[in-house]
Amino acid sequence: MKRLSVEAARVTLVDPPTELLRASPSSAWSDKARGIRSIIELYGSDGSLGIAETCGSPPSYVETKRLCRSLIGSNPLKIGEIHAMLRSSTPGGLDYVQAVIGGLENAIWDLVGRHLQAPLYELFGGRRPGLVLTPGVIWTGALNGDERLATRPTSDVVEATIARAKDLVREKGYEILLVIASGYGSELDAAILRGLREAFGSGMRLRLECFGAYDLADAARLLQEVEDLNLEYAANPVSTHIELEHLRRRIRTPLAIERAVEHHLAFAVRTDSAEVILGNSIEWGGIVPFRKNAAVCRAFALDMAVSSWNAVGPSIATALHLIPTHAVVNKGFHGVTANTAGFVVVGNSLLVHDGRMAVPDGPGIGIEIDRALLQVRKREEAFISTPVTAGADR
Amino acid sequence: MRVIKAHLTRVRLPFTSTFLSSQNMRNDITRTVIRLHTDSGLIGLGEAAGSPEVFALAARLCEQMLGQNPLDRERLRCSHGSRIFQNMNGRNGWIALGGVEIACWDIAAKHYGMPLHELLGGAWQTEIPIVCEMSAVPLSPAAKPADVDAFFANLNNADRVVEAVGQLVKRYGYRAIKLKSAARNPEWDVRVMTGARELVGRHVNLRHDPNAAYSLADALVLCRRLDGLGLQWFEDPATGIDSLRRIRHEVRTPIATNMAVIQLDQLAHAIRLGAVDVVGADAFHWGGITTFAEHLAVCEAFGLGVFLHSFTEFGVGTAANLHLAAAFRTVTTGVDSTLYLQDGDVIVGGPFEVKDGCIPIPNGPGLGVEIDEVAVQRAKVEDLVREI
Repeated sequence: MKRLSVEAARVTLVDPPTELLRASPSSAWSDKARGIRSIIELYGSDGSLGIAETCGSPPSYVETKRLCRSLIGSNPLKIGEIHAMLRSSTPGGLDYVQAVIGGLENAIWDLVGRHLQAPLYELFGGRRPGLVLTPGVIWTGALNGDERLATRPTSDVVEATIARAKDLVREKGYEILLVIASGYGSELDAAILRGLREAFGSGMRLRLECFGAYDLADAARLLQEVEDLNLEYAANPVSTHIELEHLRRRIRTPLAIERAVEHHLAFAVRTDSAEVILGNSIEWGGIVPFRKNAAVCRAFALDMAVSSWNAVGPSIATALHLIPTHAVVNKGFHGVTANTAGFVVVGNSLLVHDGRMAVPDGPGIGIEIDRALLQVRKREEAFISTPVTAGADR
Repeated sequence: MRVIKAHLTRVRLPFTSTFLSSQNMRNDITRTVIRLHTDSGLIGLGEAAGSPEVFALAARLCEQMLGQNPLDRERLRCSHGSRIFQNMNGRNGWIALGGVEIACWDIAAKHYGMPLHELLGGAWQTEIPIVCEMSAVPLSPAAKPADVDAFFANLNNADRVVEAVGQLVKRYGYRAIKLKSAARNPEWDVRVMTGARELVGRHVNLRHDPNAAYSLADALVLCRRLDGLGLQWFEDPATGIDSLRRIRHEVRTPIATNMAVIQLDQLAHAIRLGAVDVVGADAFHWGGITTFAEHLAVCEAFGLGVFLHSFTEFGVGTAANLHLAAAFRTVTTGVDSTLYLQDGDVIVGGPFEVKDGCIPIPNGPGLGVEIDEVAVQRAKVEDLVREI
């Protein structure tokens, strides 16, 4: 077989209409820039095109272009070597760099899959999987930037939230609801959770995502108050390891962590501070580290779920290949972008039906970029065809 | 693609000299060679231990693979694989699963037209260092148990073991020797290890492996006495995770195991206790390459070293180990091997050759080796064919 190499790359900044403007006042997720994404396209010497996405903040975009240059001429089949090269040529400890590496590595995997004419799930060792359970996401806080929510009576907010949840369940058939904490106080969030439990009964799986919005005392108060509601888990109630360790001893609801373990899974395991690990192949730095972390979770009997916020298509497709082929990812999607209006992919392959998403068929991640949509959403793009030693962007 | 035929053969090959450890004495070795034929014309090769129990379990797994897609290794592991453990076959089940799963990987790599190491993410090294897994006694295959007893009765014979170390290093260029201990007498072990260290100097790594045969108390005393020799590690000096933890806290030499940790949950337990420094990863004992990779990932996350454990594989198994050592960057200490004992092989071209302590990775599609039908027929003990 002729040696495969990366011949060129294109990075396109897209600005989709984002659903996630402000999850909580204290959360990093209030940064609107996180709605901007970079679409990465790697051109293989065999005519294949590997696609992926990553975050699109200004420093991420610069780093993505720089690292794309270092991929030119490399052999995608040497994915271990590429991963190590990307890591060693970037400063450590920066979240956005990790996500950039993740995006590029995902694109390499897609390129390899297309080159081999194999869906990604096949490369992971699994048959074509069935459907992936997906939660309906309930924004309870400053929904779509509605600051007035904080001043409205609790009962109004609860009522509006339940109505919205019912619409979602009716429309998409969700069996799981992921409630995004308002960040406006534990009383409001507790009331919303109680209202949802009463509205949907015990058959509905309820999860809570706090994005680190609470301090230890508030998180403990909230989770003690809703203990009888049998939440499947509460994710990221606090933002530091040490708080999580303390919280674990004070409440019974299973805890899930995401941001706290991006670089410190071993530490989280040693402290027994969570039962569910949330991650994805972008922010964990690629599919290789995702699979390694999945092995750690399996060894220590932790559950896993995949989160995919503000995605515009490719990363959801990648996750759809990863989830069913790794038995330890038994919670399916944690949260996933429901705002399909922001997607830049062809067709309806990533839509939710009956609370589930289908794994795309076809080589690689099995989806294609919609050129027309990409042009509509495009903010900026760079085409890179010269290696890092030879010059700059063209 | 689906599996249409499974062909399993138990084959036995003689050793050129007796292999003795604390566990057993062998003058030959029996292995199960697995061939899975697909409707696309590919043949996936696997290998497992050759006991009748493993052969029977592997046969059951292969029968269940008939009609199935061999690229679907997760299904094998999660569905087919679990069935053979229902009757508590334990380690034999993992070994059987490992052999069949490796055949599936071979098919996958051949299907994609690439060497196995490439499918695993690419090779980090092309010449794989080989660790000589050395018998506790340098006796001919004609030796009887009484001869072994007589050998150990004279402490001066320990020097003959040391001489054998020197000969192996000189002939094959080994840069690491794992000395099996029969665990007959700690004094014997001290004399062998001390003599070997003096003979080969510090540029050859030495490991001591009594296969957990010493009691904790004896192992503690022995390990303290050997602690100053700069051994690469003590491998299973005593039995069980907790014993290893105790010893690890008493000595500076790293503690390694391939006996106390063979499953992921055991690895988790060993990590929580801080029981070991190095884990012997073994695709053949742990249920295949996927599980092997998982163990390596966990070791990496917790800063544990890994070595590629192996024991008496024939050419198919050795090829698999070479690809694994090439593709997994954390395997930095070579592959254990008893190749120096092996008389013949079942692959075309005969046994792999160790030169300057290394073997180059095979570069054809899949494992990169082919079965020598004549050699298999000559060494055959038992044969089983199942097809749709």
